[in-house]
Amino acid sequence: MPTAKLTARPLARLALTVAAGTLLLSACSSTSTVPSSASSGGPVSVVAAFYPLEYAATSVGGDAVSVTTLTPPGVEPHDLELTAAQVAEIASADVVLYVKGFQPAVDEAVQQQAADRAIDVSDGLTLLAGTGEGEESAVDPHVWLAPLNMATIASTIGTRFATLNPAAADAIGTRTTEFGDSMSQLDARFTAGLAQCASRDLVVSHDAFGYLADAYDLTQIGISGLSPEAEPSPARLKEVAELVRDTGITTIYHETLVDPKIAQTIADETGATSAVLDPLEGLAPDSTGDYLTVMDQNLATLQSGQSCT
Amino acid sequence: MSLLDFDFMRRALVAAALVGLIAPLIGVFLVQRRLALLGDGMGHVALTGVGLAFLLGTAPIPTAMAAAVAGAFLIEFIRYRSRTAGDVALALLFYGGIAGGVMFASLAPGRAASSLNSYLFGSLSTVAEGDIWALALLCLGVVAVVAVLGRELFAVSLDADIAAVQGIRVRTMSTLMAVLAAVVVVVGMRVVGLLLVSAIMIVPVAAAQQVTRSFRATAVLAIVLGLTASLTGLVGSFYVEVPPGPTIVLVALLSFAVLAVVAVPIRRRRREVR
Repeated sequence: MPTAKLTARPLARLALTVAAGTLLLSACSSTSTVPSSASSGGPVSVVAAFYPLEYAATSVGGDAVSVTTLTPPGVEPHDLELTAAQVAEIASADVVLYVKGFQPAVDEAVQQQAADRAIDVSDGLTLLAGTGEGEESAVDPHVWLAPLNMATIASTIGTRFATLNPAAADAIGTRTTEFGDSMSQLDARFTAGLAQCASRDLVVSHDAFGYLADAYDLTQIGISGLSPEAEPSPARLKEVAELVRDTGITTIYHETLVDPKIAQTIADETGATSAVLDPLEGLAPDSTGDYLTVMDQNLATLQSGQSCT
Repeated sequence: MSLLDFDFMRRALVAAALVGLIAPLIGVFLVQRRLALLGDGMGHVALTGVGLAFLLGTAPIPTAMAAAVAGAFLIEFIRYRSRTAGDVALALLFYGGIAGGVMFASLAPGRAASSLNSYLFGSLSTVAEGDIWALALLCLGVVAVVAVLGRELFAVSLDADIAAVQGIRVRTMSTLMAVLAAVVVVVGMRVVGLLLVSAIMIVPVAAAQQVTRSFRATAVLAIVLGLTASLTGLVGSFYVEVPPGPTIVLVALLSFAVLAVVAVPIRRRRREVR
């Protein structure tokens, strides 16, 4: 019966498709049960989204944790795209450290793979609203640029590390305290160093320094908003150039990982000099320093750029 | 403070004017030849050049130029040698160019991947003085070639077979046209970005064609429209906080819409006269 055959075949195909689909789906869902290395006694496996979180995690965790970082040195982290291997790392990590709203690709991967094991380190900090015009997120994500925020972040992740690796809890506690002390000292250096400055207006190539400005009573003027690769319009350049001329600002700051052309344009326009202020979104590939040394460098740059005494 | 008090605006105005001038000049040949998308293909190939420049640490403009010119030869070769139709040859360039550009840029060390944006969408406000000289020189070259070989180029774009009968070397002229398009793309890369550069080549020409009949009149009006669009777009973005590249293209599209409406009674009258 040819007619019967004709109708049977599409049905068979449909059945096959459904079966294949079910198989695929079950294969996908099985990734949610992940073997934990901590429960088997080894170091806690930590995935840090970018450098300052890696710094906090290694300082606090020591040899009780093994940290991998998603953003390689020298890469601008805002527009990071994850490779499949990195998503797999996120899926199998014991703890994932990230800042929500900073790296869209990481936000997405965390939500899908590790929603229950991730720590959004900006949780529990006093967050600032995004400044400037046309920014995409309502909250400024650059929390790590205030040393005291780093101390809070360290104690949050230290607590989590200690629960995951109880054997090392005491050592982690000691290191957390030490880390907190070194951040308080850094904070004190900034407060003292920036107490008396000729100018309190901080012109930066993108709005990364909101927390730093807030902590030390500076006013941040970002040329291109929260995201560094947004090209400022001529209208914005004009606005900033006029402001620089009118208020007698002498230094325009640009960043290590972003093209300095825009800051350079304004500096040329106004006769100001340009200097590098590192937002610590990542270390330069050839850098030998760490969070502390870079922040101390930033302080020195700011002291000469803002004419502090 | 007025617009011309700013060095960066003076440089941007010169760059925008250069592009507004030469892009429609080449575009008018491309439209006539039904290769309106050629410039877009070149833009994609130039992106590979930009990526390569990041990877090798060379200067982006010359490297993009080399890649786009190589692309120009390649597309003429594909069109001529294989049975591939022109639009498929273009498609090959589009995808190869974008994929190559993003690949090279992501292999390159450091900040490369984030700088790609300024080439995709233009960075008119940060054009340096050296760029201006390079752009001016390239524009001069394009204008000189059109002045000397315009007649031949026109014959080939009108009808390649007839041009061949007239003794014009059609393949050489086609390749030359593609090379000219490549030069314009690289010049326009800084102004509106590689993704939109083809628009200043094509849109003013399409707008001019609504009201003009002769090739020469179309070319002249297209250049006027191109200049107007690129300058008003840029000046607009000086007073209102909008990106210059897209503003320029939208102004050009607006001129198309206006002329298309204006053209309706003109065409009707012409038909009545006939």
